[in-house]
Amino acid sequence: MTIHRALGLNSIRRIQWTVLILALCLIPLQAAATSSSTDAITVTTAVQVGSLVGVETIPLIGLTDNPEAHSASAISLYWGRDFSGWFPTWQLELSSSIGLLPPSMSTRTQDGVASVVLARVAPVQDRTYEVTLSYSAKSGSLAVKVYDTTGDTLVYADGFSLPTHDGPLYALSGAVSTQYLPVGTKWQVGLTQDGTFLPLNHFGQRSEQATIRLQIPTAVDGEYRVHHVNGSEETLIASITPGAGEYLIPIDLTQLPLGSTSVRLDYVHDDEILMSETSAIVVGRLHLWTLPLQPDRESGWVHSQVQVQSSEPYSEPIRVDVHATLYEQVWDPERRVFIDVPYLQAVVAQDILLDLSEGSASFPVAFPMPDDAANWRVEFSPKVSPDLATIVGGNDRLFSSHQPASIEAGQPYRFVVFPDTQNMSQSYPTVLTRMTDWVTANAHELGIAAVLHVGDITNHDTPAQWMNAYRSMSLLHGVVPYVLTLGNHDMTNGAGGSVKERGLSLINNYFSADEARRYSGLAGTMTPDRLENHYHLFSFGDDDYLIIALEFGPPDEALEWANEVAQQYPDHRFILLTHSYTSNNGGRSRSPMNYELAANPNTTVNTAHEMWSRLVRPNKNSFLVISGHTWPPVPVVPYHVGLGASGKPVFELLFDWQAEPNGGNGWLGLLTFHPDNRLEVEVYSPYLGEYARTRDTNSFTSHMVIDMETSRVQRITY
Amino acid sequence: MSRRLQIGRVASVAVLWLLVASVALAQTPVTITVWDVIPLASRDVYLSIVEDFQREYPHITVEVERAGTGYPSITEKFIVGLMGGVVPNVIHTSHVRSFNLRWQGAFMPINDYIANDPNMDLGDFYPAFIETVSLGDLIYGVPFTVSTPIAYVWPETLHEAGLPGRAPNTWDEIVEFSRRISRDLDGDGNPDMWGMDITREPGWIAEAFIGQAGGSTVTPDGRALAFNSPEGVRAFQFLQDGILVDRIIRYPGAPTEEFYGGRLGWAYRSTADLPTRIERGIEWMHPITAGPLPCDVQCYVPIGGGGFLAVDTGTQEERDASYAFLSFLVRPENVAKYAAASGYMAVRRSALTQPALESVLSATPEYWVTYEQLVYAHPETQAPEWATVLDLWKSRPDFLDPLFINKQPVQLILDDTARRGNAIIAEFLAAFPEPAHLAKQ
Repeated sequence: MTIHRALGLNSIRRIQWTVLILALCLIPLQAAATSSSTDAITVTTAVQVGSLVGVETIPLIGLTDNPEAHSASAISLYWGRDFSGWFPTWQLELSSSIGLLPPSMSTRTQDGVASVVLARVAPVQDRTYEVTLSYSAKSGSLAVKVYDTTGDTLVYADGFSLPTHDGPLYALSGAVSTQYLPVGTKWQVGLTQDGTFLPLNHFGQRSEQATIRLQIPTAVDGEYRVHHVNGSEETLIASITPGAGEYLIPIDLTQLPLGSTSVRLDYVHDDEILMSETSAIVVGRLHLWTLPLQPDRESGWVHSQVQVQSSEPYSEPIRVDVHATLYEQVWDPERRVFIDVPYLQAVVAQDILLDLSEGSASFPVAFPMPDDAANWRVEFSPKVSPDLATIVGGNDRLFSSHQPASIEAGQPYRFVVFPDTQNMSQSYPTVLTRMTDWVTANAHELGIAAVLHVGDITNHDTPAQWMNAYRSMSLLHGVVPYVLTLGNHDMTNGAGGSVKERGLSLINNYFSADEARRYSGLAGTMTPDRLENHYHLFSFGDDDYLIIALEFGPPDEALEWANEVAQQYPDHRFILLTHSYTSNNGGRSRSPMNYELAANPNTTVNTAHEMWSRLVRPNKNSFLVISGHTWPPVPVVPYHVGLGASGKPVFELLFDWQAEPNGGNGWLGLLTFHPDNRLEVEVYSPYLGEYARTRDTNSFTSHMVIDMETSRVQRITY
Repeated sequence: MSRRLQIGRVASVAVLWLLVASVALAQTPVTITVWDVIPLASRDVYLSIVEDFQREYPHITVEVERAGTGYPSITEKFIVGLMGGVVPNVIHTSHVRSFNLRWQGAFMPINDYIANDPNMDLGDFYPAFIETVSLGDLIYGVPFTVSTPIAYVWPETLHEAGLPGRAPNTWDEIVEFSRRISRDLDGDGNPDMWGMDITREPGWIAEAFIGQAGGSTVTPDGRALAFNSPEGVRAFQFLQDGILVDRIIRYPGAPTEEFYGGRLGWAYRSTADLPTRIERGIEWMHPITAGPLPCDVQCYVPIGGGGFLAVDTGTQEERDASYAFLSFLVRPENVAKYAAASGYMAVRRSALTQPALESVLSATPEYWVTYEQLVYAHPETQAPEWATVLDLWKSRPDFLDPLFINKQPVQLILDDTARRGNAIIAEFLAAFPEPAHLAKQ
């Protein structure tokens, strides 16, 4: 046998044998054993497998030498159950009562019928199998193929040398032709590397050694031809005069165009193509990543950027269209799920010519913000020409077109406090999304001025959890500003809550200082552009606020920096947002000292006691301390009222309900600032659609009203 | 005599025997305590089998107690109970955890019961399963929660990378498949998708890789450790390189949101959770199928899990009742019922043709994987103190972190752990040089 290599080519994907039996007469048979051949015969049939309970044999296909017979005495292919081993299993078997079995295989004889086991494979209930059997009486070649058409999988294919046979053979059923077809031949496109063949049909780099592996079980007349097919263009890659064996046919990817084309294997006999099979092959791979959305309420547009990276520099022109599908996200309070209501489809970038000569490129996408006030999910779908393999990221984004709060002097307004959301980011992302969904939808009506997150945004500080958190929180962009702080679970780069050192948090990979400046009033960071320690400035009505967010157990330098900031804004109400401060019994917590971080010689750790004495108490504008980290047994708000150096009260409130079901059941804190200087604190769950009305063993409640002048706290019970 | 008459006579004798037996037993009410750590997801089915037992044996009261959160805790509680003289009649624990106790003679041999029990055809049990509740010729219980690791596979992830939608067959394929799947989704320089993962405490998966490399965890006589052999080093080096050099294996294992969120190509986990995992794959819209473990110089699959063992305690009536309970648990219909609900393996062949299990096997091909692997299967290490050595393998500062986080030399870590493990084994063997039943002879 010889391999005539005409051109290097590329690989295979799924090997669906599409047996094209060209110029052959297929004769479907109604009755048994009516079609015959004395030379060669090929039969194809479809077998539907029903319940297998109690079934021991499934006949698949067969030939007989007796036209009156109703059983396949010559060759029969069937699934049989084997009880001989410990584990009763199924096997594909071939039987014959006239000796038409592979002489090299171990034969079992029962009731005069000899059989051999071809393979231990099991049928699956409710699947349909296309079964082909081809036998050349003259050469003795037998080819068998079983293809699962339901699962689109090749179950079995092989070929054998059998004794020759004189006299006609008849098919019991199925479509019959009088040609021999080597359906047992297998082929795959893949990659050869260090002598190993890897099935693969996407090639990012043209330097990869693409290969076709052709496995021919028995020698046959005729030849195999491998073509590369690109539209109407066909190029012969190799032709093989088939002797039995395995052939590795290299494909030179540099000769192939970028994009998806195909490789075709023909079996040719007497210049006639008797069998043909095609497999897709893709040269070139792009990674497309859509950056976070930037909803711009003033212009009425939503912008983003698509970054493109190719597996290697490509000199060919590559064009991209990006389609966006917009869904309105509607909360179903009964089932507690979001329903996607299709809104519109649009092309948000058209015919973008990418210059990938350096291996990367980027381009903007934009679409108008819908006029309707709602929350939206947008899916981006790039169409690349030529159609390279693509990996798409960041293509599922949220944004809101709800109206922000419009807070006039003398009007009440609200802060929403998000408790530890770590379990939601890990396992219940829908609950967190529901929280931001509710906040945006009610921002205008309820006057929601800001969202404060107490930290433990994630459970393990992992990319997936940050992506979940970002996705939910990004719904607030352009509607409600928010302030984040780092909890111990956000500072470990994958290690859960056991914080040992600083600077590991992945937060800055997902939430950026730029975005916080644009949407959330970020006014400064302790370390340039890093969100571990930062502050925001807001003005609502007549009230100016300074909110300083300090990481878990902040170091000395953070306290010093925070003091400087607080002193710069003496007329602003100063709110300290930090993860660990108030205990669930209302005291000040020393929890950070229990972590390895406290023993790290490279840093210092400050607990609530130090934060109080060194930062909160001395600053005359101190007003509120908001924290999480430890939780009461029921959704209540433990608190403590301290007396600042100026003689004014400082209210220290704890918000954490992470032990509630569903990662916290969506409970959030609602702080309503009434014009008469009352601060009303409530606990509400947009996920459950109810207010908490609880009280714990310390008599803390889920509803209270604080007189900020007198510092009197009225606990409301129900 | 006609065949019908013959059958009738046999049936009459059987009924008579049952009547006599039940009357005799009915006269001696007895209570036995059974401790278990059956997983919560399938415990209802287990409890329903216990209820069926109570109905059939009304004179036996079974007090069922979930006595721990897992095999280590139930075994610990049992050892404390042994020292205090308060033990159950039957305990469910892993064969790794029960090995020392079998060696020390804590359990009651049930060979004589089996010999006289028409329901217990030992030939119907897969021999390696019986090994897990035996020592030498003595059988102490019945295997029940038996499993092997299998590959849970995300075909869509593989197809997306241009790969066939199946688990890798070889270590080479693990590397090549993983390289094509692993990627940084968010541009932060860290991979967010991986070919596969390794759970925090890889235990039996590591044992599988050692076996696939042609090695063994212990010497053939089981009295010394051998995982620091060249084969063992090669296996751990393969994992270390995948995690730390190529960064294509996620360590520690993917948490729920990544596992079901389509961040892996495949993952090696117990077959025990198979129905749940397939169901959750559909819920999370990343469908999961199953495939076999890979092979290297050889194919190797560890058989893990546990069984119910009869404790060497109680009156004769309690001992009889304990055995009746064990025998009932592994009746083919009960084995089938539990295996179908849980994904654990059916421990006896006849269970596989019970309708309850056969219909599941027919419709869900993923169930077959664990059985098809049996040809390469070996019980997890059966050796003195292996459970303690496994605890050394779970040590983060001494074993896991140096190997899989800090990239310390594999040979060094394995040698050090083997040295400490061998000292523990030597101490045990000094106190118990032979299994208790041999020592008595």
